[in-house]
Amino acid sequence: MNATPRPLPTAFEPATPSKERGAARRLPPLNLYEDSAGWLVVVDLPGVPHDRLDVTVESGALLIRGEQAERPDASASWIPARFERTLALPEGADVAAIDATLEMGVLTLTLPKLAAVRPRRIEVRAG
Amino acid sequence: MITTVQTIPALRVGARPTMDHVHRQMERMLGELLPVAKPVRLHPSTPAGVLDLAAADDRFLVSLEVPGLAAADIELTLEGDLLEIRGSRSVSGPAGASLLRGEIAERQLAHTVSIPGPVDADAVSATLVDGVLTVTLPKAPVAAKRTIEIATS
Repeated sequence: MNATPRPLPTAFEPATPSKERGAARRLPPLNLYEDSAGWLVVVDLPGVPHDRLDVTVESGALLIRGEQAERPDASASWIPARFERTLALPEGADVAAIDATLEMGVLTLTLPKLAAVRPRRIEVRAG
Repeated sequence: MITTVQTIPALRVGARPTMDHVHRQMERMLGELLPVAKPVRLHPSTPAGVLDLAAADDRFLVSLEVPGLAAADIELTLEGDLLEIRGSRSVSGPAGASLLRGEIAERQLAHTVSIPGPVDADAVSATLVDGVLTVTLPKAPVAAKRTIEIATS
């Protein structure tokens, strides 16, 4: 796999203060796995419901944005978190086939590899 | 009416903008590259789950972020005024896959929350929604006002 370092796209740089709309911005932790079929990204987004999660692909980057649901019963000092994370997409990711699921506050993204970059076994014929 | 009792970040780092900013800077410098050669720990102080304790007129509420934990992974006990939350989480990728970046640690969860008032232990309930555990502890009924007679000899 040819991993040429690329700079982080500047389009997603924060342009707003961290407490926009009373939310605290947090970088959600993630795990990243790779196998011959593709990549798997696991991101912790506790308290983020489906309708407040946004996953977009733009300019070769994957942008994950999620906001925690309001908690009317929380203490006055509780602030909903705004999670935001950007990942540069690897070379050879099949962007059209990205799959995302959100379960128990955990986002799981699968990025399959394009057939062209997937390892192929070449049959060797007897001469 | 909900009044603030206390908010306790589970680890010492909550959602502080300053640390967030530092992380952001680190991330910018290192570049969010995918894939990277080795597991990289970018967030040694990632918030491990924010704990909140609130008091309403008739109940206390404790909420804790527990992403990736099912109800069966969590054990709740109440002893006196101490609420104990225990759990464990294991994180694994597909079989045979290599970990390029590991920020989500396998972890044991252990919190002890001191509830600031008597509660009706039999009526305590808990819900788990989107990776957030909420424990509702109804306050114990206050003893009715009683007039005490003074015996005269």
